[in-house]
Amino acid sequence: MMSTTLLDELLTEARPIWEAMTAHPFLRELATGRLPRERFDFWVQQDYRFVQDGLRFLALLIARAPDEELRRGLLDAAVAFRNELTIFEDYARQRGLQLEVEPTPVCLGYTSFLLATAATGSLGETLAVLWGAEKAYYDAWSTVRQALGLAEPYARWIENWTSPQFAAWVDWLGAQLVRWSSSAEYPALRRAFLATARYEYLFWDMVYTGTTWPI
Amino acid sequence: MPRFTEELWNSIADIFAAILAHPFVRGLTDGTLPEDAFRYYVVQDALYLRDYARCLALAAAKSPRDPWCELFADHAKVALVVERSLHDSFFREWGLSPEEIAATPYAPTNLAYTSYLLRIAYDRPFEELLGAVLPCYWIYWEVGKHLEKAGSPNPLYQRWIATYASEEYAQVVRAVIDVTDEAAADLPEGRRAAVRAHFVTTSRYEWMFWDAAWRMESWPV
Repeated sequence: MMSTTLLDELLTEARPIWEAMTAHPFLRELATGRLPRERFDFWVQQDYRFVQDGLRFLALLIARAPDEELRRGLLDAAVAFRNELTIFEDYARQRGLQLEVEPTPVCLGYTSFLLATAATGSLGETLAVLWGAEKAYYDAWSTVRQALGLAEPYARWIENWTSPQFAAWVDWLGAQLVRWSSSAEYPALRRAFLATARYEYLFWDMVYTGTTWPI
Repeated sequence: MPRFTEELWNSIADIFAAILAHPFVRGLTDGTLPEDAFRYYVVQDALYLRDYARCLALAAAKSPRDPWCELFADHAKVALVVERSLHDSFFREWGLSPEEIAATPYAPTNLAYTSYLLRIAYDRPFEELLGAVLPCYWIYWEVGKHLEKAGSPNPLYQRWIATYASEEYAQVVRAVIDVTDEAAADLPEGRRAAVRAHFVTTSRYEWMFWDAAWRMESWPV
């Protein structure tokens, strides 16, 4: 049996990446109201593609969930993901922003990594990347909330990813990860978690720098 | 009417030209490629082949015809045989054990490319999977033929070039091109468009894979 210290061990190992991520200039500028609006719009477009594939990831995981508790919890999350998409759609409508854009290499790399893990990885690895991605968003948006509160035009996103319900979902996921992983898959799970943390950093970096296809 | 695969190849003419012009590829034949970039490349390629084999196994599982299932099951095995042969022909010389290779982290471009292949292999229809795996087969064949003419002053590079310029390898690639044409023969346009899109995306990843090796790309955090 995997101990509950698993989550702490993962976060400890990922700490340098985590710190770089939550301190990224994109988030710092967003939290101090200095982020150019077109940078934020670019994040909206790319993150929308990310959440779309996130729904597919959840669907794969739901299909593979070994028990009803996990299946239902993930189903609730899928509904929440669907509602997340509405926040992007409402914003895009107000701004006249196109949402069906081509994903950048980092966006496509990250979503492909998540889907490839759900497709061919173990249950432990798959839960580790999902917990990692959700925990990263909770932490990143919490730093924004601390500085800004629920300020416009970001209020709905800040609220979405820092609410008590979202915090409870992240904790529940962590508990599922501990419950369903075997120690044999720990090395692969650790690698998958670290790759998720790196992609989280890279995603902020990509929307900040506007990095797209080199060819 | 041109063959579907001809249309596919024409759609990546610019990308293929950029691959041939890339300093990594040029450096193989004029000998200017630094050996540590080549070593980086071969190690990442070994990791890539392990996932590529899994994609081909999924292609076998999804094959609507038995001969195609047999073909891809065979190629899945060949990909792993080639991966092992890298140990004999390169890694041993460099003093790298199979354990060290397996423990090497995937570089960002490699992880993105193999993940993309796996996601398509797992949840998209057979023909889309063909579109995704074909550039790796085909571009290596074309690059191999091109490089063979020029040759390399570096015996290590020359040994590598010979693998992909062989008639044996040509037959492997021709077989997959034929399957793709047959599988796409009476597909509605919407499904052909999806095959085309994957073909272009993984061709881009092919260029990026050479480029990553040239830069010896690593994770920024």
